[in-house]
Amino acid sequence: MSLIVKNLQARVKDGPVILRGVDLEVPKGEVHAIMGPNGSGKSTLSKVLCGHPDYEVTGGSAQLDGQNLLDMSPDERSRAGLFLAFQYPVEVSGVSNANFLRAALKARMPEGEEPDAVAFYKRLRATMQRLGMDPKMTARAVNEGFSGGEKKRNDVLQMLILEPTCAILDETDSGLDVDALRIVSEGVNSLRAPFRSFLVITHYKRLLDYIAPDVVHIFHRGRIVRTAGPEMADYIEQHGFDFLKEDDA
Amino acid sequence: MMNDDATPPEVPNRLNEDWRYGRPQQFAAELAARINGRGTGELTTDAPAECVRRSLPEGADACPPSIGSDYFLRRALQSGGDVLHIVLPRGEWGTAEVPLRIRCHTGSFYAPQLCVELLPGSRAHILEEHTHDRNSALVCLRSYTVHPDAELRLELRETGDDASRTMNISRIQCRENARARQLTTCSGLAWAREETTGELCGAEAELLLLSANRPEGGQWLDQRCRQLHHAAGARSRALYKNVLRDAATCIFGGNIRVEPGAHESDAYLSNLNLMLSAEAAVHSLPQLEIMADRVRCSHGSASAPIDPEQLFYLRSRGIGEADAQAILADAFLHEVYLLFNQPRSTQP
Ligand SMILES: Nc1ncnc2c1ncn2[C@@H]1O[C@H](COP(=O)(O)OP(=O)(O)OP(=O)(O)O)[C@@H](O)[C@H]1O
Ligand SMILES: [Mg+2]
Repeated sequence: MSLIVKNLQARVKDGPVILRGVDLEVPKGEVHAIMGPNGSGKSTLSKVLCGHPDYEVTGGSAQLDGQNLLDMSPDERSRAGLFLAFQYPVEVSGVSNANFLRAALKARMPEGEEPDAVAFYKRLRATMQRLGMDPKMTARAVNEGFSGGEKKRNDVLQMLILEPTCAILDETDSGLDVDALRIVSEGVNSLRAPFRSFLVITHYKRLLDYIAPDVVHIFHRGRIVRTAGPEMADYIEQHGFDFLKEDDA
Repeated sequence: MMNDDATPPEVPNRLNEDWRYGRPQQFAAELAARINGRGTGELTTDAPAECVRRSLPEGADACPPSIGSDYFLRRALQSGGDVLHIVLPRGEWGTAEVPLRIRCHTGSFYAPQLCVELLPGSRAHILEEHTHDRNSALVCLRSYTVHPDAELRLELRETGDDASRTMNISRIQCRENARARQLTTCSGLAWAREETTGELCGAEAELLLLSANRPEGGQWLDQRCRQLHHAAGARSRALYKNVLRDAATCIFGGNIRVEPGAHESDAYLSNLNLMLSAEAAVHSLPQLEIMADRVRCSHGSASAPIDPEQLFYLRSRGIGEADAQAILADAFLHEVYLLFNQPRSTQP
């Protein structure tokens, strides 16, 4: 079981076609990286998989553990085990980080049940400490006024608390300082398990040095155009995406 | 200008700001019909007996000015409803809230008059609860005077059923270095009109008018506030926030008026609405009238649906649509409660 995407096509509602037939399979226990030029559609793929309302799927399929993602609402997809650490995490003023996470955990529990408050806060504090986050952030509004790096860490915090079975990280490394990059990578690595899969979107090899991927995919013009081993990241670091021009020709 | 007793309520008129946005004819007719009946209700308080009188002293100026509701004001005075006059001397009152309760009986019209004075150096926390039995109409005249160096924290909670109507005609007067903050919330009523005139009558006076509501169904919420700066160097803030569902309608008329000579006034007025339904409607008109110098005044009004990116962010964490909406609606109103509860020195 795994994340299986077949010939996925999507467009911006009333707008341009962005995904032009994405084929991707991330088996459980594996970490796959996606690299590709700006604007090639990597974030769009991640948002379409999570059911972002801006996009309309026009063809293909996407399954998680045998369930058809495209039939599910965004919250159902999350409860089914999918998680996206956003390239640009959203600010939600008036909702504290702690209440937000409690609501997300509660949504995974049977109707009428709530997470135990003491255990929840204990776990939240411990996880924040691991990520080097100020404990005061539990009371602060979700991402509001957070620095770029703090927002990224906050999304990783959510991932560590929600423990998804398939996590997509969209440029979680950009905006992180050197220490944060290591800390966040350790957090991700701590979740690696035979029953979990990761899709890591990045422009930089340094993240992949920490989170050793099993496979590297190259995304270009709305689809995956190459699939290779981790050495691909080194090649791109040195040569860039010039080789894709042949594809365009 | 007061209506003559025999004169029916004014016909809606585009030039008359008061009725410009409302649906007052229907309400006025319904209310007027009840005004002729005998009013029954209860007006009670837990304030210490020595502070409470059941009549107004001779010559007391306890009648609030209306914001275009003179007809109702006059009828309320004529109906001879109960009167409560509370005088709170220097000291702390109601650390656990001084309750004031108004209950309007089924099918009746009730027009009580409430007059509260905080004498110099008095600090009071008052909880005013208005409840409606089924199908009742209330016109409540409220007058609060906050004398020099006194501090008032006033919460008005109005609850009723969808056959009841309510109207509050209120004044809060702040003298020199007085502080007052009012939070009004109204729920369940078919039609509610909340009028508050805040008067800043002394230097360093500070007034905070807050309101947070969640009208739904076919409810009408008609809110009017005035910040009248009579004296120089005073501060006022008004923040009215509503979350609208279904076919609810909100009307807001706000006015900051800085009188000649009220230099260095600092005033802010804002009406913000979160629209959870396409059928809900808002008519909002904040205004400024400034007749003094070196004044800092601003006003604003905005009505918008939930930010789809925020909604998606919550849902992408597994929170269902209805719960996510509820969380964001609470978050929207959160600022109002935060302002009401924050310590005095940090008022924005
Ligand atoms: N909601 C939208 N409305 C209009 N255009 C969009 C929308 N979403 C994406 N696009 C366009 O689709 C293309 C792909 O965008 P996307 O964000 O997926 O790229 P990306 O590969 O993630 O790029 P980057 O590496 O810069 O993050 C871009 O040209 C972008 O402008
Ligand atoms: Mg992107």
